[in-house]
Amino acid sequence: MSEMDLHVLRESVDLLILKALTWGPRHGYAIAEWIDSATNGTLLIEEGTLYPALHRLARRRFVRTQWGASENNRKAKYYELTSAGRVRLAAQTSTWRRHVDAIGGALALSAVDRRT
Amino acid sequence: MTMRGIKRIFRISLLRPRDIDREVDDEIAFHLSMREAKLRAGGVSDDDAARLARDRFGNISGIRGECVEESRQLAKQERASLMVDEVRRDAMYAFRSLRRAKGFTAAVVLTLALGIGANATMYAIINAVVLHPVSGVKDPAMVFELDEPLAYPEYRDLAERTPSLRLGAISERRIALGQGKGADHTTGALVSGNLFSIVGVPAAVGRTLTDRDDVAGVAPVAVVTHEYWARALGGDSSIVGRTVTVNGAPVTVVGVAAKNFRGLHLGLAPAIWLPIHAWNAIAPSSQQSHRIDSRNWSWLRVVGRIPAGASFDVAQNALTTSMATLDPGAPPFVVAQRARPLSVQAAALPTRAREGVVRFIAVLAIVVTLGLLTACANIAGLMLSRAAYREREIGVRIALGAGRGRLLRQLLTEALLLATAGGVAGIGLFVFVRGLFRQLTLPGGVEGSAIALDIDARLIGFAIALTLVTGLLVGLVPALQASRADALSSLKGGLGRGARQQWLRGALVTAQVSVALVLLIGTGLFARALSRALALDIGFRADGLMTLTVDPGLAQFDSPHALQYYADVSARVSAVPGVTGATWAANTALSNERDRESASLSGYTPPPNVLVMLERNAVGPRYHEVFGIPLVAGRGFDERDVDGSPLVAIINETAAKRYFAGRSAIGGYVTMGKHSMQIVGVSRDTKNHELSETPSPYIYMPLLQLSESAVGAPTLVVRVKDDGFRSTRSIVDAARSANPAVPIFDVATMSQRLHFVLAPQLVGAWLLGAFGVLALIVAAIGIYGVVAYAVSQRTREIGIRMALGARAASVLGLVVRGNVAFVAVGIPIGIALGLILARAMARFLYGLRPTDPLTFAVTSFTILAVGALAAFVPARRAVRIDPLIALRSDD
Repeated sequence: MSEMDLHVLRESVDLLILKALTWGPRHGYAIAEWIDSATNGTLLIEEGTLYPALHRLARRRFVRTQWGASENNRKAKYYELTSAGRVRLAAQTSTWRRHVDAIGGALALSAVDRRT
Repeated sequence: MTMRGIKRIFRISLLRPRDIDREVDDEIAFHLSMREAKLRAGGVSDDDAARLARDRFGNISGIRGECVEESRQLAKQERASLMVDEVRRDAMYAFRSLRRAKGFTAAVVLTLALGIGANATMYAIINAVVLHPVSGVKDPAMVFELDEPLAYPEYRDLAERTPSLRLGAISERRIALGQGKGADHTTGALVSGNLFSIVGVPAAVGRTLTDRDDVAGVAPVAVVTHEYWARALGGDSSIVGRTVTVNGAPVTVVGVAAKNFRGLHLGLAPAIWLPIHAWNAIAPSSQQSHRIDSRNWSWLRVVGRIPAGASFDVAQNALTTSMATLDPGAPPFVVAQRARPLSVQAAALPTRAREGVVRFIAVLAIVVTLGLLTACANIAGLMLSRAAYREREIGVRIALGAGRGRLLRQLLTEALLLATAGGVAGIGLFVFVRGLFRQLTLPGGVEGSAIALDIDARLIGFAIALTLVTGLLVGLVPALQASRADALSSLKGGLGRGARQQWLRGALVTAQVSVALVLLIGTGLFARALSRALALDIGFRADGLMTLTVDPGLAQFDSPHALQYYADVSARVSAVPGVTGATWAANTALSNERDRESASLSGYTPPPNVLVMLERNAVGPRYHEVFGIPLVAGRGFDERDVDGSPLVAIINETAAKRYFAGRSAIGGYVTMGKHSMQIVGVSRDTKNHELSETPSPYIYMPLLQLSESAVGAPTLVVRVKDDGFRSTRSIVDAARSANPAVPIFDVATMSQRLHFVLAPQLVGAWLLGAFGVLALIVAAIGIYGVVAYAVSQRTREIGIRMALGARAASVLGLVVRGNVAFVAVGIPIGIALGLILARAMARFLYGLRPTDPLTFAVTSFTILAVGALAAFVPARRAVRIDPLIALRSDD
């Protein structure tokens, strides 16, 4: 993976984690499962990469953590959006959309269009 | 549990690195097991499920490392914010608890404000006077000044003989700067051309003076001060080449001196610097007989710079040797006088004022330091009582799991908060005191306003350091004491620690008693000195006297003009309602002006090598009558004694006794210079400069007979009927109406002059008294507290004793005895410290012995009495204890 791919990937993982938490606190595994199903398994090739991203988001105070009981009654670390995280999600979502539209539009141009 | 609660617990567990590792491991393990479970549910075998889950997770150790690193960063941030949080919480807690105890807080802040404010002021004064005496001078420690003023030719000779010392000369003089009525009556300094290079002061605009400016026949030039340039000349850089008027003569400005250079002598900051040779052009009409080339006019202070590497001793020896050979033709006593070692010292204060000012400051410094120490002891005592009072609260908090460190921190925070409030209030007090200081005249006649008390970084630093130190001093002992508390005994009422705490409080009482005694001794000595000073026979009637000084010389009056002006002024002032007499004197009583001259007296032969020196004063008609100086023999001056009539004089009793022993002085002759005067009267001795001076020979001459030197700066002496001085304004107006161009200054009543002279004693007595009374009150509170505590601790025991028939007196003795010992120990300590303070004060005591037994006895007795009373009041309660109730009390 090139450096740029890495960056885009990291940004998109961060964005998806924040999105996954809009439904309420989740543990890491649940976030991985949601991303997997939401992106049809295309994005999260190695589930482990999720965790450094989660810890990074925690350090930057976009999420906060707490230990709680999981659905099968095991001790699990839950992540929850902070208000700073919510603001971040909103901002990053619109930036992401703009970029996708711009890149998509640019890529859609044919050689003929360009000459006119 | 609430989210906040979980967060708090979680956050604290994050503080340890081992926990971080374990949490990351747990999290990864949880993920893997969930994944395995799902795979198994989808039909994968156990072994495959574990392997697949790991594959799908990726590089476990790499990911684990990244997570741990991020978590550590987070923990570090959290720790920092937790600390900020806790400090804030401690501060808020302290703030709330202090707000609940308003009286306590107010007392502590006020005491600290007094202590810190007084010390900040003292520091600023020491900073201005001792640490930074000559601002703007390069390497001021190498600049020296000779004790003795010299005549210009003498200075030139001396400079030629000691070329390595780079001697220069300076004379500060009163001048009129500007023209006519709008002129500033200020100070101008005549300096040798090399002075600026000696002191290393550059020009801010234009250039400074050089040797080429200071030669005869050159048109006078000048350098102005930055302050005068900015205030009166508009701060305009086109100033160079402009002309200003000095005593009516035009002078060309060549530059502005560096901003921070305020001259060499405290209280004599000039507005303008002129070369010595400009004197011939600008000399006021009153001093035109003084010529630069005269060897008899010693008007220059000689300053110099010691060459790098040389010492003061070398300079001093070189100067003394040169001085001795300077004028071999002079009478032997003159040589003898000059040959004494010249003291070479850093030029700062005018020599005569230096010792007085430094000693005065030393006394004040001792006072304020003691004051702050009392304040600290007082507050520590208050805090300790408060800690005892809060014992239960602290016990509860310990029982609830508050850490000892936390508790200590909280109590210290409280102390520091108090200290900070006190520090801020103290700086406010300093600003206020600074205003007062500006109006004060220090011993030696230095005006307080001449000492710039700046609020600079050093002062602020000093105040902050002072605040922190007092905060720690005040808070540490009670905090340590309180944090030692153990939960159980505190809740039960603190039986175990009673003795230790009692001892500590007793020691504080001892400290308070001794400091209070020192301060009271100082107050007592000053008060006794004041009453002695006021009871002194000053030789004239000070009440109802007012003085003002005029200087017609600065308006370039000639002699006949000046004499006419004097007559006009006294006539106009005499016509003011309430004025009963007005006359003139060349020198004012109780001032630093002095004029001594050698004389010979008919029928008196002085011992060999002794010169008869008389202090002289030229006075107007009826001077003795107006001033209220009784005549012992003969007559006073009147309208007969004018220019052209036979020259007459009046001498004081000391002169009459010394020079006309056993015969009548009346009819004798005094010869001074070319004048021979017949003595027509003998008057009582008076105090002329200080109240502590011993009488010296004094001679009065009629001002109106000395027409060739009539133009000077004489003082108008006015006697009014009532001492209220409602007529002050109209007297000044009447004097001004004679000729508005003549400057009038130093308008003061004689009692104001008396107060100036007594300023050190007054200020000292007030400061010491204020701190002393404060110390006494708090010491009394301390004693009260100790005894009251002892009574409450022994209620049951007292009850039993009373039930068994003990007499009230023996019970009283039981409670009081041990505690009065704390007071008794403090008294000898206080006396010992008081003797040290008294030695420093000796100069200000008007002959009162520093070991004055009355002061020491009365103050010690006062302390003992107050101590006994403070102990007796709570102790009386012990006697009134009802044995039944006491036996049932829960202790």
